[in-house]
Amino acid sequence: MSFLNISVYVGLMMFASLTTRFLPFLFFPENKPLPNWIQFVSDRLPYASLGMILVYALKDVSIDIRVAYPEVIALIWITIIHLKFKQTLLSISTSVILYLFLVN
Amino acid sequence: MKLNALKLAFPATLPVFTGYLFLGIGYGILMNKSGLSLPLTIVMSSLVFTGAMQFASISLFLASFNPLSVIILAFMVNLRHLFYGISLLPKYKNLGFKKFFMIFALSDETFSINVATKIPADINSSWFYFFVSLLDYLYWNVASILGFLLASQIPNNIKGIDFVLTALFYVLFLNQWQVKQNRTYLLLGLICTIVAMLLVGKTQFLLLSMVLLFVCIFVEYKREVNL
Repeated sequence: MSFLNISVYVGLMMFASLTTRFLPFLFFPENKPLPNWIQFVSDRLPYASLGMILVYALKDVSIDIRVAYPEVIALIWITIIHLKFKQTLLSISTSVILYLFLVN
Repeated sequence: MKLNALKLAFPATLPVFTGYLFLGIGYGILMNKSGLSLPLTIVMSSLVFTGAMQFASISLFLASFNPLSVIILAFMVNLRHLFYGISLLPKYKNLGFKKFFMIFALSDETFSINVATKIPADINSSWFYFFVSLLDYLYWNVASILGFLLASQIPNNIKGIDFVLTALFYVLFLNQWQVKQNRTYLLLGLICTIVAMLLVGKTQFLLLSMVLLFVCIFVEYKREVNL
């Protein structure tokens, strides 16, 4: 692909990144009070988004438990250890070690 | 004041450091092995800064010129940033010059940390948000350059280190789960996304999932207003 073609691609991808990131802030500038409905939505959307991200992160995991057992075991481990100690880094690091042990 | 915010932000981003280092190096190696250039790698990581799209773009750069499919794919992949922006409207306020960079450098990971971390009262929250954004951005950029430069020296990566990001999302999810009134929406996010995935498949469920979520929350708003 020519330099020009590559530049067009980069420009288009930048355009998509920038618009999707900036649009909400351009639509609802901070010097104006948020309309009630968008305030209502933005109070709840963070949690809905966390649920969405979690599924997104796990989308390539097989639904066959014989293939997906490392993910399943690691997530169960996090649930137990995190609810007990509530130490983010401890939960994450131990689960990753467990996961690596299971997949390699 | 800034230093305290940085001291809180750095450990919060350590899982992202690990995950981005691994993925970013992987991206740099792929760019190199695909015969693409270092300047292009730097431009992609610093200006486009979208992991999923960057990986997808490698094969697009090597295929024939088709700008329409690129812009459609880029919008599909990035659409979720609209939700992050709406979620952060109340938090990203009165931030001055920092705000521009923080919006520019939004990512799944930065969003999740900034929205789900409880910041102690004696710490300036806007500097915390800024440092999380900056650190995550730097990790990704440094890692992709490193990957490109060291492509020939780096042996097969250990499989699975990117699980650290999934673990991070899950831990942040669990943290929010502790607060009872959040549970409805955490579950709503899970359910709508799974339903969307079952309906349209693994590659393009995000748009449908976002529409479902938005409609559900908006219907709830309408009902509360009418009560």
